[in-house]
Amino acid sequence: MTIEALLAVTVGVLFGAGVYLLLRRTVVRLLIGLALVGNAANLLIFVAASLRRGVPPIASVGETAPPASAADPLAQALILTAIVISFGVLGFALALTDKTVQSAGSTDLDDLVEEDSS
Amino acid sequence: MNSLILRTGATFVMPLLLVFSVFLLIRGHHLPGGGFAGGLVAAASLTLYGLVNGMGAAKAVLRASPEIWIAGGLGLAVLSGVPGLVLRGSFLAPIWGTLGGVKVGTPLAFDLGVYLLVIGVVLTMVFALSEEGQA
Amino acid sequence: MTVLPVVVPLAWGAILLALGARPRWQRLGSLLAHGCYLAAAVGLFRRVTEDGPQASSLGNWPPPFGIAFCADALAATLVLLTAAVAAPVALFALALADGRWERQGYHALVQVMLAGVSGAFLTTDLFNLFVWFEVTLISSFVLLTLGGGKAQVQGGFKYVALNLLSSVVFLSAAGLLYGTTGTLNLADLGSRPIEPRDAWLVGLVGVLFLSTFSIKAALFPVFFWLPAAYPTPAAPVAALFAGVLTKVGVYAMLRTGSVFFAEATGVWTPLLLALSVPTMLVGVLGAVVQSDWRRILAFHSVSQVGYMVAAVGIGGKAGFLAAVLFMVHHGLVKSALFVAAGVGWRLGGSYRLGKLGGFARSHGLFSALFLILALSLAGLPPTSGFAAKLAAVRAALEGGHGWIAGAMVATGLFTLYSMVKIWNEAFWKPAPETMELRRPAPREMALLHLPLAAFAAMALLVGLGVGPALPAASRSADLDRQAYVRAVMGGPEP
Repeated sequence: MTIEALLAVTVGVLFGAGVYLLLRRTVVRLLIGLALVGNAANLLIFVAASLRRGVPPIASVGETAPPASAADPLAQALILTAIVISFGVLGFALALTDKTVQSAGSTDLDDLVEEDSS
Repeated sequence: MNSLILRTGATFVMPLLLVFSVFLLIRGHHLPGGGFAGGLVAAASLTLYGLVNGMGAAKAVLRASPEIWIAGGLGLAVLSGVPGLVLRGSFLAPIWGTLGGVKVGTPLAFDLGVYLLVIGVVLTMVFALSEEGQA
Repeated sequence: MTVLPVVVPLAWGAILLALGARPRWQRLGSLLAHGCYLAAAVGLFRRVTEDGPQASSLGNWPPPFGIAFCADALAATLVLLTAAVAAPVALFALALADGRWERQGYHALVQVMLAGVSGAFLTTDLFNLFVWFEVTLISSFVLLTLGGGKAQVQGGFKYVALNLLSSVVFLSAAGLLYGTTGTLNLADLGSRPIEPRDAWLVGLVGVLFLSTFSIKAALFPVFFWLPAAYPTPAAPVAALFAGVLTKVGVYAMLRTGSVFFAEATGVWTPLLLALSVPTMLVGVLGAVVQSDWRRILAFHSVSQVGYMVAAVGIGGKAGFLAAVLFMVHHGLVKSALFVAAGVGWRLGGSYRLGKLGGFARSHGLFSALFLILALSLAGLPPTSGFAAKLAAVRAALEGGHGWIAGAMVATGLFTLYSMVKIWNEAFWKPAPETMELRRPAPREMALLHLPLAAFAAMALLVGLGVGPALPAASRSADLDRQAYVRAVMGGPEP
């Protein structure tokens, strides 16, 4: 229970810090904010799917199912998938940020061009 | 990135990492590991090589451009699902057989596809970002 | 069968990527790929209309485990729509492709995006829906910034940032829902009762899902990415996005709402109805002040999403029918209008209406095709827009939502105004002296007109006989939760 409470607070802090960074005007902070809220979401899935310590979902020899008290493997599969996706997306976002900063000559979001100038 | 320690160390570590990545790839069906983890390790070793010897040298080691690696990996992963679709009526259904006493099957081909794909994707990013850095 | 619309484009994506910097081969491959995708979509559609919903699971894992796909009439219709939009746009892309796109992997990325869109339409699982959204997004990110010009990069940045945020909301909502109910399979969710003590949490999660789908669909008040992103990319990219991307968001609302959320959360339907009207009005009023061809169209995309969402919210058979018909109509026509804007840019050198003019005299066929499509968007008979708007207004009146019907009619008038504005500026007024009319080669001219003609024909077909779309749509409208659950979970016939 205490672990869950601690993790829940951590999720909240991560979301809070992430949203704070998202609201800044600097491009790089925006990116770090996105990474933080992404991690917060992963941790949220981890906590929401209930925490079980020391009971991996592995069926012992001769059994067809893992013990009923085993940790939920699906939530971890979800997180793994989400991590892989956010890895790829953040990699792209990083490269794009680099290009954006170069083309705008500034890290301030307000300096980005309006599309009107086509 | 021109430290003697890094250069000497990389020479030893890189082949080890590559072997370890193949180990992870093959181990992954039942145990922790798999194509994604293996591909990341392999890409890390190639990145290390590139940091020491220049990204041009890493590109030379790859022989083909990372896009080709992505294409090959994606193609192999998609292909590995086809036997299941044809024989079992379900895409990606596993088909197992033995080859020289070793159990092999379409899931291994899928993992290998993921492995190649991850190498390609990570190195695409690394090359893109390193070019930006030099510009 | 069900997986083919996902697997075929993925395989072609790999092939096209492997072809590398060989523009001719890539173009040939792209045509073949779109042909295969169209064939897969038509095959699936016919199978579904003949034999009912088709479900399959990767690796034969029994539901609710495993990665399952289910094609009912609704999903099959939208896959077919995607193919019907993508093929003409591919022809249009051939007219403009200059070798640079091929090197940056344009054709391969389009295939990956089609795979992602089809996956989103066919999946039965909320988490897989997230994955397919991401597949679509990542390829759309790269397509949007293709060319790497200043406008592309900076317009793309906003799109990327907003969509990443919506992905995080989606992921959090999926995690909370899984923690509450223990499943993310839609059919599984729809077939089990919710414990009363969880009801408030499911309601909260429903609102989170609604907000992420709203971002995808560009619903008021989170539509800002759309007018920022659509006017910047290369012409075929904008056309493809306009036809397909927002539909994925609306489809997600329709599907998850009908199977689970509308009933599980009390707020879902009222929210949809309440947000649809400002979406319509803000979009259409935003378009009034614009003077850039593509920006006008982009704002109208927002307002048209309002119609679709209103129809989804009205619900019932009439609401569903109107929503599906409207998605088909808007996918075809909005894509076509973006193609037309691209043709205008190719011929006149600008998207700014002030710098264009005289097409009615210089390009009769182009003008006629544009007129059909523009009138269709405005909702005049005998086009698809008339059929779709009639269905939507009728559904609103039957459902007792007179104010929504009123908003629909008012929006239609303003849409007509915008279309007349484009017509007056680009086609009717004499060409400004600064405009240099370009004269592409005959082969390119054919490639520029062919997609428009195909779109116009489809729009008229949908409008006249209500074409092949209406029977399919009415079947989709019959889609009840039990039928879907049965198809996915493999339960007995009643």
